[in-house]
Amino acid sequence: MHDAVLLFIVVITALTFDFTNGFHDTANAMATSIATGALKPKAAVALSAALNLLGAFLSIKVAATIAGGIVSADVITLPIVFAGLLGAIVWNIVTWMFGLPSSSSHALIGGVIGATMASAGASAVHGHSIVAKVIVPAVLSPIIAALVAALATRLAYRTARPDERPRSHRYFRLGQLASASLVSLAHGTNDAQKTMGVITLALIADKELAPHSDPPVWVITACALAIAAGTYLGGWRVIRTMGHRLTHIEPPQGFAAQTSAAIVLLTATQGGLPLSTTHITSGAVLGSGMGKKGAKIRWSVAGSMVVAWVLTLPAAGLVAGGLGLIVDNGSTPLIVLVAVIAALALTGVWLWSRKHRITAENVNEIADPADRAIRDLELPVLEQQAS
Amino acid sequence: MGSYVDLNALRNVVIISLVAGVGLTVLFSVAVRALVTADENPRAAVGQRLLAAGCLLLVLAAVVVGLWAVLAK
Repeated sequence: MHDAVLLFIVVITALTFDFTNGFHDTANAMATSIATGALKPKAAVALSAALNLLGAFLSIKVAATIAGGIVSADVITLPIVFAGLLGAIVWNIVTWMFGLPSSSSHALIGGVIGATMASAGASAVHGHSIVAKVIVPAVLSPIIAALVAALATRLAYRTARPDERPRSHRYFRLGQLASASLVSLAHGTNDAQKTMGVITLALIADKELAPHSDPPVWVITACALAIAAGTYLGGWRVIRTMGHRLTHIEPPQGFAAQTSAAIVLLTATQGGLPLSTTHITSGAVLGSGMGKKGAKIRWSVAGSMVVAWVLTLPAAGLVAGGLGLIVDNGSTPLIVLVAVIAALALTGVWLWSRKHRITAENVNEIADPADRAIRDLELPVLEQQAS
Repeated sequence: MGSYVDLNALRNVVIISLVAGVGLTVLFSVAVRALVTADENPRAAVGQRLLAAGCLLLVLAAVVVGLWAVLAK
């Protein structure tokens, strides 16, 4: 009975994390399509949710690799998994509040590292793996994506000359449907599997499954539905940042950014290089700004984003470590209490966020004068050409 | 650096991403230019639309092959 309750809480917490992952990462695929008007906001998140759902069923090969090699597997217990997940959820919610795109995978890894350190000490954490699997890819992802997107954007403008022929924007918007779909599909094949891996680990730790088992069908289905539901609700704050606050995105830029992000993501997956979807898509959006002559980039927003990326691992780790100290070897009622308090706190944050709501209706309205200034620098030229 | 990241995999990711990411975008841009030209100049419409169709088919084929390669691994 003890383990069943604990296992149930861990599964629910994992699915909640999966939900926040989808919620947080909708922007990765759809922000530029929404910003350029290629898709209506609600249609964009519905399409992304459907493709994330499909992607989650397409492959399970990375399901058991999350945190693999980063901490010693033999010290992982259900309370550690619970604390790690909660740390990641808290970081996802905090960064969503500030509209900052940050990696859910890194938050999860940071959470697992923090909880493990609190429970089993620093010796249970493999520093070399953290550098190789997390830090180096985190640095490389946005650079590679920005480079590809900048070059692609530059050549797209030279080839199609959309500044002289605004009619071409219509076709680039259609192209964005395909490129955004590709990013959504790739996201589903990657991120939903991480939660599948966590739940499978918990089931193995609880001896419900034999070691090295594949995720059961109900786990795959539940994770696919959770990430799709989160995606459908749409993290509109992050979408606004990616679509409007970094740089003003035009359809050719959006197409180049999404195509570059999808290609880098799929190539990295194929090559076994664990790159972050969030870092890749953010880098691609920045690259599309750098690739267009005269485009302005708000480096202060980019800087805030990078700070969030740097803080993700330690912040999620600190929260999870603190929780790990509380729940490690604790009784099930204590863990239930922590889960209830966490649920109440997150509900409070959500209610507070409704005071300054960003929704499908106002995601493209730019309230910040500095953001408007970036758009206004370019819009008059476009409108003049269109007329 | 070499012990922290698979340099061969990294080189492949950079080269393939550059070739495919930039290549597909440029192919699509050629298709867009052809379609806009066809819209603006009906006399050249057939040729331009054929060019656009060829480019779009190439893009589609590359995407299908890429997805297949990733999912079948």
